[in-house]
Amino acid sequence: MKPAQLSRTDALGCIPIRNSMVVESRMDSGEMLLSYTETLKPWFAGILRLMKKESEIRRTRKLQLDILGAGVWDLVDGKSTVMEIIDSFAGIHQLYHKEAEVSVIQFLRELGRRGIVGMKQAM
Amino acid sequence: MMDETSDITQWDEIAWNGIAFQKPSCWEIATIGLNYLMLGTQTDPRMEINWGKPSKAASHHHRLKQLKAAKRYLGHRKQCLSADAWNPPQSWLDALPTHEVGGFSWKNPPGNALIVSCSSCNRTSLFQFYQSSSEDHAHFHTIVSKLLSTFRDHSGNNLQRWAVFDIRATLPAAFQIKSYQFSPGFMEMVFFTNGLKISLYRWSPASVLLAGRKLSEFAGLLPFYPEPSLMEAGSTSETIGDVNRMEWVRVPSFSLLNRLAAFLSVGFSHQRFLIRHIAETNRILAVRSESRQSVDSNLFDQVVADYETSAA
Repeated sequence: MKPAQLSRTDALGCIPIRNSMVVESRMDSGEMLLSYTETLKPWFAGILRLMKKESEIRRTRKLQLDILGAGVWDLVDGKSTVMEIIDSFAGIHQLYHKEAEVSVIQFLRELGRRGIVGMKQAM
Repeated sequence: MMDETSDITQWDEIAWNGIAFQKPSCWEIATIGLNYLMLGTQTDPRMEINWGKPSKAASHHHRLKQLKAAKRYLGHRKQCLSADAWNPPQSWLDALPTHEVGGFSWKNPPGNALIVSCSSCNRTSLFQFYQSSSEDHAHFHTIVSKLLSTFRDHSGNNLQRWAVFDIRATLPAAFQIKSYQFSPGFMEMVFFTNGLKISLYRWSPASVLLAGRKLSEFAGLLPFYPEPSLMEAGSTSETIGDVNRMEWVRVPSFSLLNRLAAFLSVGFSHQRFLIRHIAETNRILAVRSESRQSVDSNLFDQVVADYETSAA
């Protein structure tokens, strides 16, 4: 069964949670490097198993975040909602709110696609 | 989440391509088109507005055509549109004393629209307002009436105001908007009039973009920064006012060959560019003019002076 679609209000109220397997290393420039294990589609992992390339099923990937990305990553504390992160991010950089909203949502979506963060619905 | 529209103490202006009005600050631009705006809160759409061009003749035929176009637009967007006449609330009508105001409504899903024609410029605008389910009826009418009372669809002088997102600018009314881009971190509006193009740029956050480098270094990375060969040839002069301001002017040299090339060329040979770092708002603003003849300095300086960003 398909999960019920979240309303915009509910989506902004979700809490991003970091994947505990992600390793972060901060650089002197303020940028950050995230190392994470790539999650393959089950069918693709099956093909790799058949090809006896099991070592490639769990590949480590790296993602370099610029100063702004690292700033958002720091705000993902497992307690703050997406909306709270947007508000903080806009406040820190004196950004126009809509501008911060678009940037943060795009960024979190990208992290979610890579399995670096998950979303928890606020109670 | 709290309904933000409960707080209507903060209002700000919006001015775009011929129309202007005040709106609650929490109603932000959700969609922007050349003659279309949709405003909404973080959770709900609150209003839409479409507008046409002003016309010299206020004929009944012209109004009828605009009304038909409005209905066609709504019919396209809202299926099963069967429009009936609708009388807008008196407070809405009172807010627009110099306009002819009409309304129509439809069912499934229910809605209504306000058609506003200016008796002086003959521009017709179509408003749709959306009341949120949790909102008090009287409160909604107060907001709409206040918004309508500030509505302007023509300028009283020869100047045109532009105010979207955090950008505020004033240009002579002759300038038409040619293109625009509003992306996170970068905004651009390009205006055109006879032989003169003016582009307004805005970058943010400046603290990140200028981290570890000067404004002049940032400007040097822009795609339209003059090539070093032009600097050496003396056709471009660069002025660095202070660390927060830089300007360059490009004037074609007066050789016969260059003059002939400028005459035959469809491009703009004169360019002026001024870039500023506004530390208070953490923005970088720039104005660029391109023209066939040297740009009027007073005009350029006035555009620069009137171009600013509102506090975030």
